[in-house]
Amino acid sequence: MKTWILYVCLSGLAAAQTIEGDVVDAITGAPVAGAYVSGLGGTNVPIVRTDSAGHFTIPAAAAATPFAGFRVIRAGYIPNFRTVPSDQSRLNQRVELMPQAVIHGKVTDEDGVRVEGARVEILRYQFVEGERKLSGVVMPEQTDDLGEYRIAGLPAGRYYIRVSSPQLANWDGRYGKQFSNGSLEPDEAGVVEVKAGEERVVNPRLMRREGVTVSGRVEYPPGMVRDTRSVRAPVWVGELEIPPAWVGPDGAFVVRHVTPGSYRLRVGNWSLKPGELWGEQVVQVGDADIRNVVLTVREVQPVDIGGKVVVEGGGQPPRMQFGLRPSSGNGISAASGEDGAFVLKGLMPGHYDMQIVPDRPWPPQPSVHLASVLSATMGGSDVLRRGFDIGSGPPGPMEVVVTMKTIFVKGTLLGAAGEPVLGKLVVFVQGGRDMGSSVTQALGSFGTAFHRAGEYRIYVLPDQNQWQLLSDPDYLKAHENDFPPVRIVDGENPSIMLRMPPAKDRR
Amino acid sequence: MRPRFLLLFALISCCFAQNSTAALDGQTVNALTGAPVPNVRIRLALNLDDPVFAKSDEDGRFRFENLKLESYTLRVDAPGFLEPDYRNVCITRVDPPKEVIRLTPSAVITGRVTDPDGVPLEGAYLELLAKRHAGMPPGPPWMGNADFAPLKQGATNDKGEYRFAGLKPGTYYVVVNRGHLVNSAWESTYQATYFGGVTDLSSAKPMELAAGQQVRADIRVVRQAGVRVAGRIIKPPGAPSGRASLLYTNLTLVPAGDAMMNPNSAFVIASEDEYEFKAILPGKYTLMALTRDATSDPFGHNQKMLYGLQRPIEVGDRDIDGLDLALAPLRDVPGEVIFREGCPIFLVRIRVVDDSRLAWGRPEVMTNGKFVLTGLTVGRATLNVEAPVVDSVRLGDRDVQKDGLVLPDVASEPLRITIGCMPSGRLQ
Repeated sequence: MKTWILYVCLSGLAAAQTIEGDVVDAITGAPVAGAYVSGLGGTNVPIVRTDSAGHFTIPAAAAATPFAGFRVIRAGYIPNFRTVPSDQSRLNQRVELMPQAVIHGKVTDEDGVRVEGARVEILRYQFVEGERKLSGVVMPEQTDDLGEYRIAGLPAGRYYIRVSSPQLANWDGRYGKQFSNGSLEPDEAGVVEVKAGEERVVNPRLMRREGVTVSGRVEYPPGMVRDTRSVRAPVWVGELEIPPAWVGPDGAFVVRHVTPGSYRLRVGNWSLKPGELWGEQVVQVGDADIRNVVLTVREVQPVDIGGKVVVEGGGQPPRMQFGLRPSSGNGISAASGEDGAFVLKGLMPGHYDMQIVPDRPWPPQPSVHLASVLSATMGGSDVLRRGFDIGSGPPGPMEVVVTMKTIFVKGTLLGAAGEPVLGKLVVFVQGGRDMGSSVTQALGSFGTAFHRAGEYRIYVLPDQNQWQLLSDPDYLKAHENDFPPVRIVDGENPSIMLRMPPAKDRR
Repeated sequence: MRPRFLLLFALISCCFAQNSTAALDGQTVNALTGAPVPNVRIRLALNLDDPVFAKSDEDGRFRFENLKLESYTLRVDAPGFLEPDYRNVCITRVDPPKEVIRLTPSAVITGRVTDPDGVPLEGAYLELLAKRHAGMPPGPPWMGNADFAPLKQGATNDKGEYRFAGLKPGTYYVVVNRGHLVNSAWESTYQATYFGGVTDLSSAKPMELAAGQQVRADIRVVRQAGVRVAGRIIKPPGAPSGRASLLYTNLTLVPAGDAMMNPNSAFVIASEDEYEFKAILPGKYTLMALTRDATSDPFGHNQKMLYGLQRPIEVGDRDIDGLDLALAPLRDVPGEVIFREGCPIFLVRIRVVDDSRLAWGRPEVMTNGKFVLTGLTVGRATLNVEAPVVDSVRLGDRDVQKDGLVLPDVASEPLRITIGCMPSGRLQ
């Protein structure tokens, strides 16, 4: 990528809080007039517009508290956020606004009749926690009464467009989720590639799919008497995308128009309460009907999961906060005690995602190193990144391993000609996850805190607005050898010297 | 309730099942012009599992064949037209009369929102206010006697455009306000602006829409300096202090007589114990505050609500500093369901519909005796009691059915809900 960034280091301590610079179009280099520039992280920070030459000045005097950076917004461009450390010059900031790509069009049914309220998702393959997954890039849009949608603010890239219409599926169960080229699974033919500043028209057509029929009956465990709770209970196939079938008075259920795939078949209300009936099993759907599925239900009661926080290498466990997000219902929270023990209470069947954060001291103490979570396992399985399911088996116990260790490493980023490079984001990746990052500052310096020794791959992103590149498999492949891997050891580490590869080698 | 009742009636009166089959012909027409409406989706269902489908042709005609002589439900999906009630079609003979479906075109309001300099404004938040009709429940107190209520919400796209469709004939207002997207370039001196370029509902320009009418309503946002309203947040004695950094308070300032869902608002971190609203125009407002504990749910879906406040203030043409807000602990409200003598006893669902702009969630209990409503927030709340005959809902002298609850300033007495007997012969 052609580099336009030119930082001029000036001292000027008197003007340390004033930010001044120019906004240009990242493709053409032309000044961008009328862009909205506002300070970040302070109070009463003024908002200014760029003049006809793309120039702006945010005066420090107008701000009630110091601000840490600024953001630049202009219709037709992707917003740009920039932090500017106080020890770095805030003058002559050059901001390259990347023109947005737009995908828009009209969703129709098989006869070309517009579909109102269809949900349009823009997806692309991304690395999430080390796995390549098809994930949403922006918030899904709904088509209007004309069947039209418009999704703006996209970076250039290769996208898949997935369309569904809950309203139409509820009307006719054959209208399931599908990609813009009509396929049920993502394939190369369905890729839509857009360049920066480009507008592409994509008119998806929702086709009816007969699919197959999945049928069976609801069965009670031995000793439990059939009661009225299971009659007319909903039977869900997969997530909430397919309208549920209903259990008949004889316990039978029939789900029609199920397309091939692996599904979780579930009977019971989506948001469960204690005492309700629930059962589920996984079914693999191919191109033939599936009959005689037996869904065994049981009365659900909340369960507790106990666990312990331990410190890698031993030591007093820090107090940690736990947050659980269930696939339905309210979140659950807990905290570990002095001995590291904790109990997650009142979990109903379903999937849970989990977040574990250290309890922060009050008032804030910058010198206190907070714990970092290395792993969380239950029954030998990782539950920190993938979450866990509460089903029929007894859950737990959970073990959470944290570290108090912090290895601080400094470094310098130089350009191909040996000049200091500012404003780049240096990211250290291990096992497909970013484990540390830093924006280069005056003289190209950066500093990153690690919690674990080991070998890290290094990527240098154009700026801190482009984190999404780290989840782009194509970008990662193209840049995996830009810098040699670095080995971080416990204790003291030498300064890391990074030199940007020549521009011709960079995409 | 009405469609269910009609369906029951139709099923009772249409029990001529025979072995013969019939065809059903129909036509979809524009209710205003009588012109045929093509491409209408029609769904005919004998029961939930076996619907059949048709689409009207260029002449608006459709046909279903090989129908048993039964009672069916017929539903229509016609893009660009108001959704008609579904109807029951009772086929009692092999040559049933033609079904004519009259469709009323829906009205549309479209427009573009620009900033005070005429630049399209992306991510601005829009509300459509519709004239209230008889039978609608009363609005929250800050709406005063406003005749309009929020009907739809939307946001402008990257070109500053918006569109409200599917509207019935009637009177509407459109108002634009600060959006929540990161790409919203809404400055603090921009004011909520109604179509017509004014900042208050009473001066705004209503739009009278006829069936099928399309109206364009471009709005240029008004820039006006206003004044500052600021002060401290004072939490009750005994408020957690050790992890106080994770308590935070949302505040909002709702103009009196305002029907908007998204008024001016500010977000305050309670550890700072200070708040500030900028560029507030002169007028009467209700100030609301609600403190949550972020540590109670790091995901933010179910954070514990601790303290709140709601108070009227009047803003003039000078800054208001030192407006300190003493928050009160939120309260649980105990109560009891009492059944009149001789009436059947059953579980009654009691739901609290919270009108506060700061909270979400709908506390509810199922009970036939004593109960405690928890998770109530600050502000006015409507109590919804699901029972065939509710004689009264009282909190001390207050008639809650009529006046609602105002939290946390409720009386100390418990709620008393009295359930009566269902008159004989009435359908449930």
